[in-house]
Amino acid sequence: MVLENDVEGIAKLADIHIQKEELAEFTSRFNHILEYFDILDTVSEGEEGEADLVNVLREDEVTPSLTQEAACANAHETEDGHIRAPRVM
Amino acid sequence: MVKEYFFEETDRTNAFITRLDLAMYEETGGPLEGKGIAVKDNISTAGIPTTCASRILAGYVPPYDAHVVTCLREAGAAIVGKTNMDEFGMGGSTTENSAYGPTTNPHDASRVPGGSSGGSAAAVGAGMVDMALGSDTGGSIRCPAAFCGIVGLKPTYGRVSRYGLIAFSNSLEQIGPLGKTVADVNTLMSVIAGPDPRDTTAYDRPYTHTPSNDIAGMKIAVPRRILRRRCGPCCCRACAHCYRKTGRCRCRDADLFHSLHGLCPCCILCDLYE
Repeated sequence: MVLENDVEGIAKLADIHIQKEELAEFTSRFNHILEYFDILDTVSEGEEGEADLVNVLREDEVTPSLTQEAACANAHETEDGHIRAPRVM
Repeated sequence: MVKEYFFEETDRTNAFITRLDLAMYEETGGPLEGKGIAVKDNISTAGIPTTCASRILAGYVPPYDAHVVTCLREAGAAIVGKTNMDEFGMGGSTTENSAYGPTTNPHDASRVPGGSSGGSAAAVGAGMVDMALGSDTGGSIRCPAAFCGIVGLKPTYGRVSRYGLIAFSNSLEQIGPLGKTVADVNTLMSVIAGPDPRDTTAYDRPYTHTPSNDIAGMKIAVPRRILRRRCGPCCCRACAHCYRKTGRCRCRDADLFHSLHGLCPCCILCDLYE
């Protein structure tokens, strides 16, 4: 069960601004989504494994890719050919 | 040889975020040569702004093409623009949640076109283009195609490479075709479906389906319980009309026991709210 306090705390951690009047709506939605886990808990786990799965990783070989200039073209700020991002913490 | 395609259609539904009045295509002899195709604005197009209908990506110009866009160009298509959508594919199925204003339904401007690929569906429904690309996680091609009276397909997961699609939910979504007819959808599907080493979830088998209107001997499964519980009377009547039209076929009641269990992970992963 999620309470309004929890939603406020999660929003703060995620740096998302939620208005006071939105809290009840978000709390209700969080709880509704958690109910889906209760439904999934009713599914019985089968005995069969996933024996047919195969690995699809490729060999680690260098192939042609974007130039540094093209990769940085959309960055707001660059430094020595790298993308410079603002501090987040 | 590179040729010019003049895209002069009036956009009365706000279907496009970016439009190219002069689009280019190559004479490749491909199945889409000289055809104007619209592309949802969450699919990367080199040199053409791609916004996902969000101000966060305003001014972003992808440095590379999505795999499906490369396929379109090789098939001779002219990409005439990028279509409106719900922001990043989220926020309901209406194409009202766009930073570039809502798209309206081409058949009735007071109604929504469905979403999140509402711009692509409206562009086809309004006759601006014959075909368009959308993407579908939880109904984002199928709903707007139905709302706009056209045909849309969410391919089986893995059928179409997601390389260059700005992701909403990697393990659920697919790029897919929208068109006026089943034949058009099949043509576009045959162009975009196939293996791509840059998406390791893409099948390594070619797509070879040929649609046919011969339905003799087929059985059609009718999820009557879902129709009764989840659909309004108008929708049920329309479905019943279709079942009657299938005359030569036998409709069979089918219970889709796992549909709810399939929906739950989708709602959890995508923060959907039913």
